Amino acid sequence: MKRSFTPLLALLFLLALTLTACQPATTPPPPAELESAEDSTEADAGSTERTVVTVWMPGDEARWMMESDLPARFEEQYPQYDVELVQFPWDGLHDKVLASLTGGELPDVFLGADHWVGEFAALGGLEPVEGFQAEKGYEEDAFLPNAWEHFRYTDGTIYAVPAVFEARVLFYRTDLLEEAGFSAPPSTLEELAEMGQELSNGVDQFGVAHQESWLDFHFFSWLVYAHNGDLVNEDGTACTLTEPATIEALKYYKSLYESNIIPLDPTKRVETFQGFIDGYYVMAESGPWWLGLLQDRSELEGKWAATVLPSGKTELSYGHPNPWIVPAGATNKEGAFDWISFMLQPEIQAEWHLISGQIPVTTAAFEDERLSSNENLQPFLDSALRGTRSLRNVPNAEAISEVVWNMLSDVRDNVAAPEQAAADACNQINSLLEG
Amino acid sequence: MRLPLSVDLSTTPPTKAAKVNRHRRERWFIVATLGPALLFLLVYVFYPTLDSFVLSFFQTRLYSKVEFVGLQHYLSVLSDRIFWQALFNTLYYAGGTVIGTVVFGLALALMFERTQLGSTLFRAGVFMPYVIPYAAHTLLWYWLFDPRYGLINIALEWFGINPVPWLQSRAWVIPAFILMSVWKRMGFAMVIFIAGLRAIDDDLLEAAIVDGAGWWQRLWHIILPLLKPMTLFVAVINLIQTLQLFMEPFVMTKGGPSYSSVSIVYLIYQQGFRSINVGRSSAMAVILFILIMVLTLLLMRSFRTSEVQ
Amino acid sequence: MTTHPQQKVISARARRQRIKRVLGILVRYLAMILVLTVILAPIYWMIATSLKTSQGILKYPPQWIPDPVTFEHYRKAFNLLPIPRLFFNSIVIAVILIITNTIFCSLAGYTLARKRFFGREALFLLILSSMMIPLHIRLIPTYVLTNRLNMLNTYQGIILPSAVTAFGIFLMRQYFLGLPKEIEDAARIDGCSEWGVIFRIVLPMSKPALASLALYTLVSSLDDFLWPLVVTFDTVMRPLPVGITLFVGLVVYEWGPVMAMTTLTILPVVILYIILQSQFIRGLTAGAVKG
Repeated sequence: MKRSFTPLLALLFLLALTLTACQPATTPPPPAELESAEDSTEADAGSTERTVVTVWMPGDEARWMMESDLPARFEEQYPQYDVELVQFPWDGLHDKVLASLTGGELPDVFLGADHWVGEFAALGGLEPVEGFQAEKGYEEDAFLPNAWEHFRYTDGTIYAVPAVFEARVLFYRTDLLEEAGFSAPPSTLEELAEMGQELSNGVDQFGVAHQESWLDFHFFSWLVYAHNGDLVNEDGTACTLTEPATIEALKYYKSLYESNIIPLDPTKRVETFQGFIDGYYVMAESGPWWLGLLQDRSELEGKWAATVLPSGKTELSYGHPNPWIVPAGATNKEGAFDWISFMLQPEIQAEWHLISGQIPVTTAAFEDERLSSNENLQPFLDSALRGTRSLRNVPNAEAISEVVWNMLSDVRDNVAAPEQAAADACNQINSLLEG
Repeated sequence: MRLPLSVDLSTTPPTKAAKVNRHRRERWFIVATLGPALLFLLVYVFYPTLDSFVLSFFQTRLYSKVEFVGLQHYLSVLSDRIFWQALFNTLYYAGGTVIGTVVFGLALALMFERTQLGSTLFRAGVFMPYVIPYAAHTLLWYWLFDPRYGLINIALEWFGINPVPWLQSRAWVIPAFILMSVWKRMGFAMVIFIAGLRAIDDDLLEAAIVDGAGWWQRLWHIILPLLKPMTLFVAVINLIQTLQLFMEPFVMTKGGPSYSSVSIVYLIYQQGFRSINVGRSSAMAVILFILIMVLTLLLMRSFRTSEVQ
Repeated sequence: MTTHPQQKVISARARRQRIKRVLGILVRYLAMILVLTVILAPIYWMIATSLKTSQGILKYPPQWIPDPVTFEHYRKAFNLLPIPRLFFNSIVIAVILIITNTIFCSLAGYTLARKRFFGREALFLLILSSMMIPLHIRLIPTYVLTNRLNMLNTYQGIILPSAVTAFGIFLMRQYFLGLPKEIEDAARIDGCSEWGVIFRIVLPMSKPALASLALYTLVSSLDDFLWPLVVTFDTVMRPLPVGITLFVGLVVYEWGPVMAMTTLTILPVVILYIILQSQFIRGLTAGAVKG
């Protein structure tokens, strides 16, 4: 028998083949005919020199964008670019950008969560946008309030461009409200409590919907701002859950559960959307994505509507813009900003709304016929115009939200008194704020 | 000329050169066969473990070390209420699952060891949950535990028991995890116990019956002691796996309600990949590692001492 | 013929005992069916849910048999996630892991079983001890290492940390120890090289152990979640279990598609299991039970 090395060699060969052949699917193909690498700005008529603009998008947004004609229209308007669109799950996008900031491929622009801006800016990874803003002449009042300001980091620079707006409104069942003898939805928190009480029978109908985790956190945030309180102080260095205004909001939150306006018994807490459809919940605080979901449900046609959230001491509610972010290390910044300015055009903003259900961030978009005729879109605009707040520029924003919704869970299930639960939460939040 | 490598031939005494050659080839063979495996283990098991130890003593920024802080992370972790909650949850879950798996696996084995007809079908069916990918298993039970439409609460109502808000209740969330895990593992335990039971000498049992030993006595004094190695194996494997509880809190509850379902690995993941406090996360990982070692050793020792008796 | 009174008594007792035995068997079989039903009910429920209409899923009292049967959730699942790609990822990862594990663990196990050298026992204990090292403590450094090697979000990145497992080495070594040395020695006398002995003699004799190792590796790789989770970023690189789990948020709007995805995830393994179940059981309980 010969000494046979062949099996070993074959194996090594196979391994080598596998390792070198496996390429990540997200490596963008090298731009064809790339001559002038970074700043080809001239759209040479007849020239085939195109640069690639790499756009990373999360979750559903990516899918909708891919299925739409918007990238194609962008390439029409800006023939010097080829759009490369990549889809990521939300957490994956965050982690990938984070890993890439320490040395790796960065996209030219990506759609992110608003609290990422503070986190990435702290690492020095973002490109300032005020130059872009000035150059294109974007005026503050052409946008929803706070849209640009929200992304001003503690060093005074604005590091992201508003893409869409997050706001919350009160969805309600018009038919059930009528049955109970109400002609209009509540406009103040007191009315909400009164009507909620009337509408709840403790068995199969409750005035207000129960929410979980993130959505509960947003629900509570609204109550806090409506009571003129806040979760953290002005410069984001200390937790303010224990302040009187916020404690009041917490007590109000608790009272909704105690009076069974929101189911007190945990086994009765049905999932929010399904509950609204079943008429189990008469009113629900929620966001723009419900517009799309509700439109799919023909059985509910004409039986629901939306209105601005009831006000308390203030008219404020939870809301914030979501950003387009350009990394400082992007290779095609010109292309990135051109993409952003394309997406900020009012018709495109309107288009995007129709595709995704997300709220435009430029006021001009709302004048588009298709949007102004949608009466259910109006409350979102009104909410934004009345003023919205949210956590911003704090480190560990996600962890802080988790602490808050865990606190809410303790309060509504009567595990801890509001003051005690808030104090405990503030302990944790203060250490999280230290970074 | 092909040279034999390890057998002494009396006909052809090997020359010195041949012997040296043989040794060299042998050494090369040992290196070539052990080398790759050792390399992988070194690079991907030993080095990262040591690195974790090292990282736990440093303040970190993203994934790089910034400054040496000694035991600061350990003190911070050990004084963190949430860590203790996670520890409690993890131990509660591990203990419940190990005990449940052993008890139910043993019960099934005792009941069904002797059946011949259909035993393959039965064994295959009971074992099936064990091969289901864990992620699918977690999602499936997420649905089964739905408070209103889930199968578990529906079944409870047949018996006149009120529905339980499993994953939304502080009291019931860990028992829910335990229930899921016992379901998954008891087939595995049953198979091992059946093999163990089959290995028990029938004569021994016969003699006991003749001596007048009842069923319970036979079980307690003969069967269980003889099954110790099997029990130990099932217990240790399950203990090591369950102390690493992660998927259930991650997928189903995100640690809620209100930290009542956080586990240590869940916190490690959070600290390491969401809050990115690598030093602290490593400290937690080291603590868990020590915990697993200690508990496993304790478990093994407790079996050994009772064996001596 | 007179029937002896003793005979009558004996036969009566015998009859009673037979009835007791038959009853015992009947009860046992009933118990078996009951246990089997209870254990497999969740799996049935999962498949049934994936085939019911949305209204049927949320019906109370529950619909036991899907009626009407619909495949809309499967269609939706395919729309929401690139399921074939995720499937492909899982398969690639599993196959390569099986190859690397069977080859490298066999080689190492053989040498540990058959070759004497300085420090062999110590080395074996070292390898054994690494079996006890849980994943989480090497998670972050492995992640950093993978990043440095530029292998984040690649197949290599997912595979390499599990390419060789201590358990595999242990399994193969134990098995080789049980093989008769004479055959190998005879082959060597015949002039077979060491490599030849392994590949032409020992490995062919070790099919059961190799099969066990392969199945164990398969199930492990499908169970693996935390590592593929942190090392991959985008949906298309993720193996199926990770892909579907991340799709499910904290609020599940629709159980139909989720159950469809779950069914798709377990289907291949379960089919394989049904065909090969005794090998599966042997493979997964190897280490405790011989054969």
